[in-house]
Amino acid sequence: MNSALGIVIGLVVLSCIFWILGAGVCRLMGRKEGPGFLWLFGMALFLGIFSVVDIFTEAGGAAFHVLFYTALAVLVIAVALGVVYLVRAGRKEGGSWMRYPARDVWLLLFLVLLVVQIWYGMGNQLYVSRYDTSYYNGNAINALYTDTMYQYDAYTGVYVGKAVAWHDSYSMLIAFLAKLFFMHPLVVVNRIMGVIEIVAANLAVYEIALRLSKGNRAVAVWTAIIRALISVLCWNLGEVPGLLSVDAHGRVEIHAGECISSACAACHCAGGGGDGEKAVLDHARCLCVRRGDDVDERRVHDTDAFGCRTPPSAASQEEVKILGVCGAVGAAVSGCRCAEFSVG
Amino acid sequence: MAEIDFFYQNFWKYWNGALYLVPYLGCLVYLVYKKDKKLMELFVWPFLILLATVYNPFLMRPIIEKMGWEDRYMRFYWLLPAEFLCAYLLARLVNRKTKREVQFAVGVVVLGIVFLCGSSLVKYIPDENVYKIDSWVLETSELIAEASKKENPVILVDQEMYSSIRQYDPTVIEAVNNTEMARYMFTDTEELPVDGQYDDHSTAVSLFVKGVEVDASIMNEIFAERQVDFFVRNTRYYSAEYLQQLDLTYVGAVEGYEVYRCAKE
Repeated sequence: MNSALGIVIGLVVLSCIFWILGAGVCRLMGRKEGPGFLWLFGMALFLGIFSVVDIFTEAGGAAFHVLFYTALAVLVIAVALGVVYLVRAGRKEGGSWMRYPARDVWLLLFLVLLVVQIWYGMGNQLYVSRYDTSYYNGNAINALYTDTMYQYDAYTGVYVGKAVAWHDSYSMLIAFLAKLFFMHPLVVVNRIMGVIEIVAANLAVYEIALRLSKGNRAVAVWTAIIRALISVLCWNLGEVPGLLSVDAHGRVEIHAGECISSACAACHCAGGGGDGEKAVLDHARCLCVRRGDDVDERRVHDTDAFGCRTPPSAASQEEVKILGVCGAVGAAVSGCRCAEFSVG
Repeated sequence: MAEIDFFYQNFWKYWNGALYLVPYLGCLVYLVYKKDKKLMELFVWPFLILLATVYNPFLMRPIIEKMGWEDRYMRFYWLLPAEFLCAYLLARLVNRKTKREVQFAVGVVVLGIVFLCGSSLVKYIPDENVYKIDSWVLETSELIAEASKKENPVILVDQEMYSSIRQYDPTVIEAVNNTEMARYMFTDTEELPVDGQYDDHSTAVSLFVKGVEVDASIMNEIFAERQVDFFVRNTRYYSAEYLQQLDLTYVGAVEGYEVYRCAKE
């Protein structure tokens, strides 16, 4: 599966899972949303489900295969429930529960923007698989090779014993997807996750701009285009290393960044943040506690500036709350650095 | 010590020559001028709160001194939604309902702003394989696998190979730990404390991986002590005469690296 075809299969399978999860939960909440939002929301749910399973499995000191089969079972059940629910809803209401995007020049332009960025990101090896990523990828490949979790040093491969601290779930997610798709972890990180993050970041920007502009799709697409241009022309502002050249840390941060910002927006727009929003953020913060002896990140091109600058914004309180939940679960999975500052 | 200069330097380091600070501040002023309540709540007030808290040197100075983590302070600037706010307001400008010619002219001006405010174009380095890892890492890994009689050979590599090879190949064990590898990671070669090699083996190995020709007898002791099976030499480092003094046997070469077995034949 370490091939272009394998990557496409992986992406299609994950996209279907995201969409089913997102559509199922949005339908359950009685929300009528477009396919992009459903995909984005489903991705956050997927990451959230995995992170919760991961935390409990890690806490139990189980082997990696226990995490794999538990997470797989939970996700299969969730997707199956989603499919049954959506089929029933479809029979009852046709497709009227989903908002279909207009097939116009703006949709085409947005799709072209995605394709160009994916092409650029997939072709560019800049910043990939170097020092910062060696911690995350090292832990992922150790898990697959030794069937343990965090018991071998990520950098050296030396046995260090039972893990004593909570970890972010990102490494185990890489290992999980690698085992699921019979892929090398580097292919998962640099290809599958890379494409997912490019799409997710653009969708997040698009959706936020769409809501701020009261549904003006031209403004939303132009915002996504200009933001992509700024990224290419100004790497220090963040996105490019994380997005277009697809660095693992970019991947780590994207969830935390785009999503914590959204979560902050949720609290903010909800008028100072009610208990629900506070709980969401507290939860994210708790899950994002990282190990003290984690990777040393003093790299010159610190690539993970990415996410936190995705703006806290959204139109209505309800939408904003959804984005907030979406953000918190994403943040929970991605774990670490953005969380340290943006939530705290 | 977190002096005022520290905050000043961090601030400019974050913007890195980009002019987006100007349009960003302009956007904030525009939002205040337009009295857009919602956008002010989302962008202006958080900015002012940040300005009074985490960007306030008088408040943050004692906190940083107490907590440390000075090298992470710059990340507070990541909280600024500069990129999105500029993109969103420029997009709104482009989409204003006016004559087509005016709209076109505005579009050109906006593109000009986007290009002129940028700092440096991101490089494009074509990838070499599906793993998105340098080919010399894959080739070195294959060389070691072919030459090794052990399932988990112990290897000693330089900093560049150190951070790459185990992402691809979990079977190898690194002889140098992360503390040793990171000790002089950001020290210039001319500033390395070369005499430290005589202090202890840990320091010696930290210098060795930076290309210092550590006393051959010390390195041979380290090879034996850490049961190193293979030494991967970065061809930019170490002279031929120096390598002859080490207990090594040539195995093969890839671009930029040579693989040696740690035993004289």
